[in-house]
Amino acid sequence: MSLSRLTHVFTPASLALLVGTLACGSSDPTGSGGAGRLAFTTWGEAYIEDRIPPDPGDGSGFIDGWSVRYDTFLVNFQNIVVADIRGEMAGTLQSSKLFDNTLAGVKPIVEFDALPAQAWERVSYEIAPVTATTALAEGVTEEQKAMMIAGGYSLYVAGTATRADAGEKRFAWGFAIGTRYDECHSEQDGRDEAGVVVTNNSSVEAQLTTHGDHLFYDRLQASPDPAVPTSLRFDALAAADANDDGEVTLEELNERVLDVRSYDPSGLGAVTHGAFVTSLARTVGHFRGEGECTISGLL
Amino acid sequence: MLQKQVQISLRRPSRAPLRAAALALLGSAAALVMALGVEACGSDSGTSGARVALATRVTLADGALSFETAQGWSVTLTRAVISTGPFYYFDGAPPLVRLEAQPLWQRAAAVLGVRSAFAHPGHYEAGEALGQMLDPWSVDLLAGPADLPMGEGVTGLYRSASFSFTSPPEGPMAGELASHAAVVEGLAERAGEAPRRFRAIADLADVERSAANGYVDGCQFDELDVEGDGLVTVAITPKVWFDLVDFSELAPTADDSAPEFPLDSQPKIAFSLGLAQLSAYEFSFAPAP
Repeated sequence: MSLSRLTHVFTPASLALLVGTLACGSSDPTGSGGAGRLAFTTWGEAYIEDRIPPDPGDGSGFIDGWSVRYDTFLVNFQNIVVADIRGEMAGTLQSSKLFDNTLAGVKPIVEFDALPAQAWERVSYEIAPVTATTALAEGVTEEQKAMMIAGGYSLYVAGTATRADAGEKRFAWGFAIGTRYDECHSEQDGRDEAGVVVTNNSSVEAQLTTHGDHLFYDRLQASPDPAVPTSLRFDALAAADANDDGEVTLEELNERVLDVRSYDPSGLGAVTHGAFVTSLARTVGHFRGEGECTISGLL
Repeated sequence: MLQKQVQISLRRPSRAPLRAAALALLGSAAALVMALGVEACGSDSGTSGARVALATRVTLADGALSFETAQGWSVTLTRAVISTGPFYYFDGAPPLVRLEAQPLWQRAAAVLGVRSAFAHPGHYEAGEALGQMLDPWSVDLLAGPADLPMGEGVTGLYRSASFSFTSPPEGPMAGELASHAAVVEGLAERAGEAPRRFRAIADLADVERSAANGYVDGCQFDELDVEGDGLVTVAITPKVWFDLVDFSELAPTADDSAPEFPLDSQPKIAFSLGLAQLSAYEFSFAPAP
């Protein structure tokens, strides 16, 4: 076996360990042999780069009339693994890199060159707390890294919620959680595709998409009743500003008992709005747009 | 064996229509029947487990008769009767977070029976159905451990379960329940507040707001390789049912009467949500002696 070449966008010093092996005799639905390139990227989409609007009537915005604009959306990716269905690894990146997805555009994380052209069904990654060895993406500062380390954060979001008749509420929430996203899959050409399919002499992108609206959902899981939607809300969060200083802190949310008339923990606990938002923070990570992964907790 | 999946996902409001959570019970039961049928016919495909007999017991979790809710109310139960439906057991991991490297204090806490796991949202994939108990029953949780009708299954790694409520109730407490899925009475006290006697009633429709067809999916089944006949025990923690209830919304009573949670009141809604919390039901297995 030989190591697959890795074209990476990290500085060499930031790579803790790279292991790449060619899988022997793995499934190859393309039947073409050869090799291709797999590029991991990240993007926050319009909800993070621009704003989350009030609902225009289709459920795509805040149903209680708020809008949210992020000014910081720091997310730390680590331990990206590409493997086939038997667990034979094609490539892995164990080190971590911190991104701010309020910065415009799709951002490169890592590229795997010369991956055998075949299906790589087992793609996984983690959003984990920043450490001293975490690399910084373009536009992320050392001060931000230090803040993340001090708080034990894997995800940090800050922004402003606005409603004409209610003014503004600022927020800055750091989440000291670690989440693993396993068996990522997405819809490609109308069918569900596990992981990615690498084809000969071509390049495929595996985007680790972050969904900034999830933090404002009113349910932790979809309702069993299809007539009951999952909606975006901010009223109860605004009301948690106990000292009325214009900022809603995570501490204030942790003191605010969940408003059960508007929020449903969906069988998953979360007695306070702080616990609710923290649970939702684990759902921020997605795959290739709307694709999803099996979530498990690191901490 | 058919792959059974429960995918309960949050879809973005602006994108494709929300996928409704669906527990493919019919598929699951069919899959298990297939597995049991293969075993009964003596076929040794090498791909299905051996058949096992699973006794079933429901009990109140240790120390669960009196508890303090997350809102600081000290609650003592005086009555707790529930109407149960089928239980299913799966090899998929429950949506619980466990620290992979627990600090010393948490390991110590675990020894003392303090749970350090908590549920989180995302995809729960039940995987393959390994066992079931299909008969509706009714249980008085304050009367001690209750033995339910026998269940059955196949050998394998049990990791998660579905607990269900049903209506109309059957079994020994059916008369007391009438058409309800749960009837719980007790006393709630908190410093600075008048004590509140209460009667919490939920119908199946109340539970179904959060739990499709009354099924609470993704409950923890203490992970174990089931290799033979034995006993499945469901330990219920009523504290979880009441963690969201604001008892201060109930009017204190001058006598010993226990008023029902009013319709559409915060306590009523919170109790219904509480019954659907997967962390209230923990399954375990003990091999037959």
